[in-house]
Amino acid sequence: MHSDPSPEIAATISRLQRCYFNQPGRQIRLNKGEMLLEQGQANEKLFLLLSGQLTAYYQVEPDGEFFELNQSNPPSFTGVHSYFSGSYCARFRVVASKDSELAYIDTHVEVKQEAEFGPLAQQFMPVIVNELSQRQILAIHAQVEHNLAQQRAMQAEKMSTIGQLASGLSHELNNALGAISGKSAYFERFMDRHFEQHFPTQHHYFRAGLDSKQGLDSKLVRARGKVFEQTLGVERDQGKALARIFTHPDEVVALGKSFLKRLDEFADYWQLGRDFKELKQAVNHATGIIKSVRLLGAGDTERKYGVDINDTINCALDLMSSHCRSVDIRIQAGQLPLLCASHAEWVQVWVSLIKNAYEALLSQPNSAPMIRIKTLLSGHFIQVSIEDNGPGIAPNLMKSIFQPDMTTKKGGLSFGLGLGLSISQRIISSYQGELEVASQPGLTCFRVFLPIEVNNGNN
Amino acid sequence: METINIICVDDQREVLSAVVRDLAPLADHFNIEECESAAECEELMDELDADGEHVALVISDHVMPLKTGVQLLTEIADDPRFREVKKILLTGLATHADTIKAVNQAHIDHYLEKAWDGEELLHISKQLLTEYIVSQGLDYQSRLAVLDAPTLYKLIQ
Amino acid sequence: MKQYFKYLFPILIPGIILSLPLSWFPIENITLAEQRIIAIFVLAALCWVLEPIPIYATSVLIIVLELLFVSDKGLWFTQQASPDLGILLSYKDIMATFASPIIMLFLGGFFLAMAATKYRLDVNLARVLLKPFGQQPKYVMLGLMMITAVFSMFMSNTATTAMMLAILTPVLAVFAKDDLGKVGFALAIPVAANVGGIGTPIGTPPNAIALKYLVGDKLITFGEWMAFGVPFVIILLAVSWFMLSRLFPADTDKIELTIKGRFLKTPQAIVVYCTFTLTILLWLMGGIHGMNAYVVALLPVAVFSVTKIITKEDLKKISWDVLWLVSGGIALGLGLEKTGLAANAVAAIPFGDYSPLVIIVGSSVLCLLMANFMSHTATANLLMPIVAALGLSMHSLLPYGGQVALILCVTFAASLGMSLPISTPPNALAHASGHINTKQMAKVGASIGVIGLLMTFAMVYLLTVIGFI
Repeated sequence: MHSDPSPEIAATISRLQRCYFNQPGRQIRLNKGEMLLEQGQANEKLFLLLSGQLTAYYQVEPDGEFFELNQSNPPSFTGVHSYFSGSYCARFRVVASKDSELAYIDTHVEVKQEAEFGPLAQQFMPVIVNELSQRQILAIHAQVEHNLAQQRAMQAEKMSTIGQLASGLSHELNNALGAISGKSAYFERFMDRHFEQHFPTQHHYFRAGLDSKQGLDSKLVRARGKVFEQTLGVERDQGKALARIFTHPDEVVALGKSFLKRLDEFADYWQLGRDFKELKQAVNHATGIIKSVRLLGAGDTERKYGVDINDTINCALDLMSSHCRSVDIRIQAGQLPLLCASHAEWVQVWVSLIKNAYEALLSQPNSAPMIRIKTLLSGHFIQVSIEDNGPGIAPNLMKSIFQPDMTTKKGGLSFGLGLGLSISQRIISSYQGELEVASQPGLTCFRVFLPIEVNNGNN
Repeated sequence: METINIICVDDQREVLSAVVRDLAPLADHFNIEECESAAECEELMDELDADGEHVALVISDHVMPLKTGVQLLTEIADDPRFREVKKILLTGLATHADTIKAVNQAHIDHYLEKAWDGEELLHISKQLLTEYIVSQGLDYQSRLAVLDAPTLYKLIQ
Repeated sequence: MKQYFKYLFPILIPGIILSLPLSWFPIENITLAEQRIIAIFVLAALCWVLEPIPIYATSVLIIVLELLFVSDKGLWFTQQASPDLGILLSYKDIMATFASPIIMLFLGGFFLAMAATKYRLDVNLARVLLKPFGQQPKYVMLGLMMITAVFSMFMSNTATTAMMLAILTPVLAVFAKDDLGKVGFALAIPVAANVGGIGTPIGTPPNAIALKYLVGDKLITFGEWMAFGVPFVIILLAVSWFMLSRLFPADTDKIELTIKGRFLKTPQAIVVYCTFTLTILLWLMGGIHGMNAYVVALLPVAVFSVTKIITKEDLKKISWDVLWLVSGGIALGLGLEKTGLAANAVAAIPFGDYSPLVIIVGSSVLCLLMANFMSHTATANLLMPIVAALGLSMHSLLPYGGQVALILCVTFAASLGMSLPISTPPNALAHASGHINTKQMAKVGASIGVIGLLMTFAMVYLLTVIGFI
């Protein structure tokens, strides 16, 4: 019925066809749409489909709807149940779904080659069994299909609930964050002005803390602090304070002895400036996370003309900079056309791809962890590749990396990878782009292809 | 006088500096160190131990790349050199299983949830430092200003 | 730079003293041994005042330096024959200071205190004894002070203070923020502990150091000490209580102290109770049974060791530092006395010209002042040998009680220094509670110090009048 019969069955069918189904008087032609059998009505015939296609329908309740069951292609039998069970009653409605030719036998058929193959029922036995097993396979398939569909529905429902929660939550959190960032910015300006007017010397260090680069890592501060401690003969915590502000002891020596005397005071002001900077960073970090949570559900980000993909990558790197300290990130940016797109959505894509690469790098010791990002325009596509020299994705995980709940991080919540890749893929396909991944130990590459014509805002 | 160290571990620099800020009142009597990963903390403890300094307290975040806080604290608890070190797990997110592990295997002395209260963190740190100092027979009289008096009363006889 | 002075001075100044020619000293016929003892004494004084090293370490240093430089088995060049060499000490005598009867007396006290703590006799007694004082803050304070004082007569003042403050902490936590009563309660404990220590010879190390010089016909037995010590403590405690409850009245009208626990009734606990009572009784009975206080002190040591009440682990927890601190003081006194320096030095100063009253008041006030800024034991260690020699040589003192009067005044003064957090460990502990500021402590401590000193003079006068001394 559904699948092609095995060679043995095919041989049996062709022998039966030769013996019983080649009499011109017992052949019929059906046009497409014509009904062969009606469910529940008498049928004393066993049909063999020679060409065309038949479709079976089943009605659960009288006057109810007919559900499509299956299609059968030649050579296959129809009416096996009604003919051999002895009920002589059709169980399904069978309609020709293409113009079809059929041959049939009825109850008065004469048994042929009985000496060699036994009685009629025995001759047809392989066909009957084949028919039954085909139906059972169908039933199993149907059940599995049904379960999967149910699972998908539940997952979708879950995601939509999370989405609703997320958008509500992000609204509230954004309000709070707005207040925090607004007030701290005001506070910072106020202090800045106040110090400038009243404590000019201290103001210098406050500003220096405020404008300081991305924080030094603690190991470096400790090592450098020791150098300061030894060369300048200061206490350990003073050495560390100096190491945060200066890079070389000579800079401190140049400031004179009076500076060292007031070091604790200056270090306090520097740290205050630094605190403001970190406050801003923390707010940015929170805002970024909220954005990514929001994309789970709503996804109502507005698309505007004038987005440069390179900008969105830089923005993502800014967001990620506090995370990817230990990794060497190299960018090779090509000239790209402006697109009609959502800036936020693309930042989100890059954040999750970069974070994914970063986490892969961290999962195993690596002496020179590196992420390489390349953008270029090739033909009608913008091509962005993100490579890392991490351990690669295990082949058995390859299939599942785009599933929403896939994460390689243990135990914890991780927007980065847990939902990141599936969101990325969704966003990319919403721009009719494609996300490809190729991985081997030492080189994993995520490649995004983005057609420019559909996204240039002209249509 | 002996140098007594407090080590704070968190992979997020802003959080780390906030913790250190909260502990600032202790800075006159203890040396406060910052570490951004479990590996760095272990290396530092090794170094401090070799220099003959005390590590009295480790305050660690849980969710960190490569090695989690619970793993770090478990290793500290298993190290005969650091058996007496007091341990605080300061975390925004630890699963139920992690928490059980933290208690049973890492034998943490205190569990604090983020966002934490600075006063509370300071108070608990003082208590644990007091316990450490008395149990190690270090001089408590010169450090009375930063120790927790009620804990001290219970411990000295 | 300042911090280096405390290391520099104790090395430099004794060094200078050692390098001076003998003729430069204003003491007649001074010997080399005496010069070395002066250097060691100065070193000890500087170390105890500036505390560059722990105070017990200074004591050990004294003993070892004496062994090296003024003993008959010291370094070879220190023994080279010279007309100026003077009398060298026997090394056995110096080493014996580690196990002097005074030290044994204290060891016995430690054993009693340890066993009492281990079998929770202290806490349980506190619970029972506090009950009759009710819940009115004033009387609860009185109860606390009495119990603290009684305990500190037999236990270390520091341990008693810690225990009582631990009991008090939950109560103080529920006081209103600006309730002065908190200050009163927090101060009552260290005051009572410091004062209580005066009550018995083992109450505090300065008493024991004094006993070292009260020998022969000036002997004061354990019971005799308590006969005047305890009434003194009671009166001073009452005065302190009156002052504290006036200065810092509590707004709360009810205080509930909760002490959990029950008296242990195991055979070992009963052994502890009996031994404790018996030892104290034997101490009080004095000479009736033929044993002196030092011999009695070793009874609990034996009983508790035999019954495994004090195990070898407990043994490690004994405050050897306190014992050694006292040993050093005894060794210092030994050096001063045996080389003849004490007598010579006293003779060199015309003390005879001074009124004996000036001497008593002057040395007591000096002792009180010193005790406020440094360890009581170290103060006694430094002053007692000199005061003893002075008392012995000044015949004009006799009408006022002689050497005994002078020693008692200085000893009591040493325990009365309690006006600063650094004065005594009990003060430091109470100050750490955060309820008292230094000014309040100074006010109360100084007042009690002065009142206590006046009371000491009165007591010594009374003792002289009744012919006890």
